[in-house]
Order: sequence, then C-alpha cells, then structure tokens
Amino acid sequence: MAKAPTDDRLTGGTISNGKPVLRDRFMIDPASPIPELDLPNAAAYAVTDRRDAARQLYALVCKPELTPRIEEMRKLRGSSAPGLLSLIEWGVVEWPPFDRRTIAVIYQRPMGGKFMRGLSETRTPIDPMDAKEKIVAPLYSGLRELAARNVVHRAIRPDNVYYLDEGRTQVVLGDCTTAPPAFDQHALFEPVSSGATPPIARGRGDFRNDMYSLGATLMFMIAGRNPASTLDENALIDQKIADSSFKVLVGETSLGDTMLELLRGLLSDEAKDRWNLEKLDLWLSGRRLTPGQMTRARRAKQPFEFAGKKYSQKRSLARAISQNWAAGLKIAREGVIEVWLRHALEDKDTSERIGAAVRDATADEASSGQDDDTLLARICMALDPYGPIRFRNITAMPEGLGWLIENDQSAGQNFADLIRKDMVRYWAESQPEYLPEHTILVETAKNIEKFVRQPGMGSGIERCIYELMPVAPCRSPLIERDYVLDIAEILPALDRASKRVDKSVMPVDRHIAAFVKSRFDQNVDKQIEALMDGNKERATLGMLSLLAMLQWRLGPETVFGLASWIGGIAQPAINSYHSRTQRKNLEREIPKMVRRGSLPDIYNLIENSENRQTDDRGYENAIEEFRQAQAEATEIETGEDRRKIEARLYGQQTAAIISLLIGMTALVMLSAGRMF
Amino acid sequence: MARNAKKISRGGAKKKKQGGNLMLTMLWWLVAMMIAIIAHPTLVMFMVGGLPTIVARIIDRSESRMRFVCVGGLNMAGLSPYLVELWFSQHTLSMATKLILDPFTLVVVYGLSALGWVVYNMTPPLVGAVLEMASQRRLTTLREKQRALVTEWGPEITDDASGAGEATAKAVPARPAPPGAKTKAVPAPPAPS
Repeated sequence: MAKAPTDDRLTGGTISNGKPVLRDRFMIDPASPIPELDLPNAAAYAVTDRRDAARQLYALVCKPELTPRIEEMRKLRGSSAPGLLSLIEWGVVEWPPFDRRTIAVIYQRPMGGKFMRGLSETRTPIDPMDAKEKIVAPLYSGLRELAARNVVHRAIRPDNVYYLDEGRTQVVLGDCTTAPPAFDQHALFEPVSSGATPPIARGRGDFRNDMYSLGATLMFMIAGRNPASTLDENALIDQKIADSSFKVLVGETSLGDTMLELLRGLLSDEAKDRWNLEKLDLWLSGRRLTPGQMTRARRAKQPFEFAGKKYSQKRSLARAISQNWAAGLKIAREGVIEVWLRHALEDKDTSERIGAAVRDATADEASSGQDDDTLLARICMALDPYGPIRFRNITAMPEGLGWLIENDQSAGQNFADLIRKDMVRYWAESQPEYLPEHTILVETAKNIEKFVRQPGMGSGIERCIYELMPVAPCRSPLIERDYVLDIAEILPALDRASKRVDKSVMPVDRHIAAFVKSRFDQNVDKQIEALMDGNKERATLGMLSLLAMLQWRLGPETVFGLASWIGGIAQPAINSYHSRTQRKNLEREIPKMVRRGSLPDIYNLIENSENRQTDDRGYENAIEEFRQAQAEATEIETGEDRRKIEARLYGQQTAAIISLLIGMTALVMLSAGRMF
Repeated sequence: MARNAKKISRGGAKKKKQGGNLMLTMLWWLVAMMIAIIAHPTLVMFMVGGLPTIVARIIDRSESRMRFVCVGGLNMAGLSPYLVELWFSQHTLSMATKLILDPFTLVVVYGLSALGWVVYNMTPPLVGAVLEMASQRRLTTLREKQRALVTEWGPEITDDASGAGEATAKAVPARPAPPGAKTKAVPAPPAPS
C-alpha cells in the first residue's frame, strides 16, 4: 500500500502530562498563559524547549475557526533577521482547553514585551529625531527580510511591535501568521481601500499595504497615542477619503522635514505613489527624495445626493452605495452618476467608464439579461478602482473572497453570483495599473466558476473554499476538531471521529468530498458521482470506493474505527446484491474485514465482479421463473369455468370409453368362453 | 369474376362432400340390409335390446354427444350373454324372440343400460374433482416456488417480474451497474501491484 509522505507538523503532535508537544520538542503549557503577549485572535502560552530548557520561547495558539496564514508560517520558519520576531516552529497541536486541535506557532519570546498593549493606551511619545534609528531602521530590516521571503506582513501596528530585549532597545515586528491577512488591523493602519473592506475579506494585498501600515504605526508611536482617537473606524475612513490619510494621521503635528517626507511617502493614498523599500532604504541612508506630490481626491463642485446624504468624492459615494445597495440599484440605470461626474467633478474618464457599463448592461439585457447588481458593482469599481469588489452585501478584495466564504457561509449565494457574473474580471479591468497578480486572480475566478455552477458534492461553495485557500483545513463537522490540513490526515481523522460521531451518518459529506477533490492528486470523479447518486446502494458504494482509494494511496495501513463505521453502514451496498444468500455471506464476512481495518478489502469483498455477475444472472433467471410461475398460477386461478367444461367433456368421454370397453370385453369374453 | 369463381368452386366442394356422405350413408344402408338379410335374428335382438341406446342417441344434448356410446357400451354388456346364446345355439328368429322377450333378459339389458346412463352422469363430476385437486396441488407448488424465489431474491422480484420494476426504474436512479457497464460502475481502488 502506497503511503504519502506526511508533514509531521500536520499530524497533531503528542500530549505529555496534559501539555501538547510540538514536533517532540516544544512543550506548550496550557496552564501558563502570557496575556501580555496575546494577540486579538491568538492566545500566548509559555513554551519549554526540551533540548534547551533555558531558551525563552512562547506559543501563539490560533483560534481554530479562523484559517491562519500557513504558507507564511512555512516561509518564515527559521527566520532570524533583525527587526523580525523569529518564528521557531509551527504545527497542529491537540489543545486541551479547546478540546480539539488547532495551530500553534512558536516564537522567540520578546523579553521587553509589546511596544503598546493596546491602541487605546497612551505612552511616552517617541522623539521623531530618534524614530529613524530606534523604530524605522529595525522595522525596515524586518520588512526587508519579509520581502526576501515573499511575505506580506499585514499586521504592522503598535501593539504588534515588540522589544526583544528587557532593556527595550531592539524593536521587532511581531506575528503575522495567526489570523487572516490584516484581520486584526484597525482601519487606522490600513489604506483606505483595505480599511473599507471587512477584516476577513482584505486579502493578502502587497508590500505597499505594509508600507502604509508602517507609516501609520510610526505616526502612532511618535504621537504616543492614537492620532485619530476621536474617530471610529467608519468616520476615520471617511475622513481619510475627504482629507487624505496624511492629513488625518499627521495633521498639524510638529515633525521635522525628514520625518514629514517619510510619512508623506508612506501614507500616500495612491498605492502607486507610496514609498517602497528602496525609497525607504534611500531615506534611511540619508538621501533626500523629491517630496511626493500629495494628490488629494478631487471634490465635486456640487455634491451628489444619495440616500439622504451628500457626497463630494467618488470613493465616498462608492462606499455609500455599498452600504445602501438597494438605493443604489434605483439610480444605477438613470445616468445621474454619469452626469454628476461629468459636470460636478469634471471627471470625463470615469463618466465614460460608467456610461460604457450602462450601455453593456442595456445591450445585454435583451440577450443575456445583465442585471442591475452587475451594473452597480461596475459603477462602484469605476468610482473606486482601488477599492474592494462591492456586490450586493459582499465587500471584499478579490484575494479575500476565500476567507470571506469560509467564515460566512451565508454569503454563498451572493458569492456564487459574483463569480458567475465575472466581477473579478471587471475589477481587474478597472484597475488603473496592471499587476501580474490580477491575471492570476482572474484565472482563479474563471477556474472556480465551474464549481459554482455545479452545486453537487465535490463542487459548490465548499470546493471554492478549498480552491481559493490551498491551506484551509477541512471544515467538515465530522473532522473539524482534528484540523485536517493534509489529505493524508483525512482517514486518521475519520478513524478518530468514529469514536464520537453518530455512526449512522455517511463518513463523507460535502466538505470532505470537496476537500478530497481539491487536494487529492487522483481522479475521483466517478466515486463522487456515485456518492451523489440518489440511489443509496450506489452512494454507499461510491463512498466506500472513495475511502478505499484514499487508504490505498495515502494510508494508513489500518483504520479499525472507520472500518467498523463503514461496516455498520455498508448495508445499502450489501443490499445492492439481489441474492439473500449472497447478502448473508457478505454480512458474515464483513466483520472479518473490519477486524483487518482495511477499506480496500471491504470494498473488494462487496464489489466482487464474479459475485456480481453471478448475482445479476441469477436474478434475471429468477425473474423469468417467477414470471412463468405467476402466469401458470393465474391461469389456474382464473380457469375454473374452463376446467369445469373440460371436466365434463373428459368425464363424458371417459365414461363412454369405459362403458364401451366393458361392453366389448363382455361380448368378446363370453364369445370366447363359448368357443373354447 | 374471381368472386364468382370462388363461389362456384365452394359450391363444387360442398356438392362433392354431400356426394361423399351420400355414398357413405348408402354403404351403411347396404351393410345394414345385408346384416338384416343374413342375421335378422341378431338384428331383432339389437332392435329390441338396443332401444335405450337408440333413445339416448336421439335425446342426447351433451357437449360430447357421447351418451349413446356410454349407454350403448353397457347396453351391449347386458345384451352380450343373450347374443352369445343366440349365436352359439340356434340363430333363428324364434330363438331371438324367445330370448329377448324374456322379462329377466329385458331387466338385465335395460338395467345395465340404465347403469350406463348413471355412469355417464356421474363421471364428469368425478373427473372435475380430480382435475380440480390436481390444479390446486399445482397452484400450491407454484406458490411455494414463488415464495422461495422471493425469499432468495427479495420482494422486488415481484415488481420486476410484473413489469412494474421498469416503471420504478424510470422514476428512481439506477442501481449500480454490473461490472461490464463501465460508465455507471463505481470504480474500484487500484489493484495491488
């Protein structure tokens, strides 16, 4: 039996004295939390390195319901660059407090703690003159390391910046892997487009997002407090749109020219104008750069009135439409936005783009019926091209769609329509600058469209989750507690599940089917097709075939619990045989196969081609015999009158023959007696 | 023309048949006259002793028209001793008259004829009872066979045998196809290498 090589980080580790042990080395103590190092979605616990007990480590234990950034964990494991907290190890652990498995990430413990415990806290401001050496330089090193490993941090904020040493001199960037990208970020630290997107749907983004977060974090540190503490997140975004991020965050704060230059570069609202690492490097080396021209979004001469409020900027109007979609639908085809853009904002380009969208919608209405939702989404894209896709109640960056549907299954229908109506392509086409990632996004959306169109098992929204998120754990309720990331872990997880779940249910549900189709390198289309069959016998055989194939290809050698589970629900498959004798034989044999723990053996026992042929032939013969017997019996039952007539006829003939024989015999006998 | 020809042809056949029957009848009459001339004492015996058979032939309305045979058979059995006596003693008209007009003879001959009548009426119910019994036994055997088939192959066999299974098959998805039908079969896991 072939066995796939498995990553032992995904197998769940071991438990020693009630403490999870990762990779036989790092013992995490659930009884020793470190609340001062907690993150919003990951709790910190003390860790002991069995090989080096003096080593100062801590673990961040992820919330299992959120899929963390496992790719980033892989990339960052073993990093030890200045300015970046070293990610020592990661893996799936059995976590007693949750009574389930989850991911733990082991980090070098920052002895000086967090720069700030929370965003509401106030602390001694950093002197702008010192910020370059104390803050910017080390964080730049951290970002450089991240760039080298192709990791976008998306969690740069003051309460995720740590002092590595007790003297609080070495600043490092904290964890970025335990939650979805930018999930824990306050809108203060996110560019307008990302800040206006729900945290779960912000997506990976790119390095420019990190540069913005660095600028906002730096300003926070220099201020020693939240520079926009009077504003809630929504108001903050509106303010950023109205006045620019730089003005909102820096305002009239007295800073040196050098620092202003840096913040102006980092806090640029136009992603293309924002500083990159090269510019930051030049700045750190003392080179003065040409100050970037602050491009403030143009204001309309006359505000646009929408749902009772007035809007003077395109972005704020797009945001307002996404928040009041029904009102937006009413004006989508009226052309009022076009007119406003042309006359009040003098933005001919955007007006023409919207005009083209309206024409497309009208032209298509006759043929394919492009709807108002599509048109309105395209209008929002034209108004705010850097912004997220806004479609009905979905607001998401294209890269964040996977996280969105994983966490909000109720968005499934709208997500399906979003994909079907090609929203990702429209979004990519509306981008002012081309990035290769856009092509990948469009291709990905095109690929998952077929899954959206096929709602059956192995497709649908579940499949989209696993296709969009190659590192998402299987979310089947049967094995969710086992945090299955690797296809090879499916059967062991089901084997464990057999001890706790209702064994009358099938061990393959929509999530498992989608997970297998997405992660398994063998073609299992026919098994899944059989699994979906309304006929229970065929569905059971499909399920058994699928699981047997998984065990054959990926191991493990034995799955006693799962085999017993399947043995218990294999009755419909056994019932696919007509012969009761054959069924009894199978029922007698299956327990033996269950004791072997081998699903292929159970499958081969049930789906034996020779037995199947014999059974089918026997059944056909039996039908014919039954039919003939029935015909004859019916004839007997309904033939009483005919039988009476026959009986009378035969009786009369018989009587005549007997009588004649008697007469003839008597005559012959008497004659013969006289003669002889 | 053809129709007329056919009619003519049919008419010809009928005439031929009628001609055949006439010939046969004439032959019978010839034989009867020869017997009447050669064996008129026997004929007298038959004419008097065989009255029940003649009556049976005339009044018989049964399906088989065999009453006269049945009555005739036993009538013959009753008449046999007196015929033998006639043939082997004096084959004369006076002897025949003497024998046949004896009351005892008439009682024997007519009594046996009456028995023939009774036998003819009694045998059909008896045969009917025997046939019914055989049918019921066959029916029991068939039902037992069907029960055995249902026990072995399941109650669905009744639907499939009556054709209701075909309607059911159209309404519900098909059961797993036999191994030969590749399109519908559930694939097996890879065979051991």
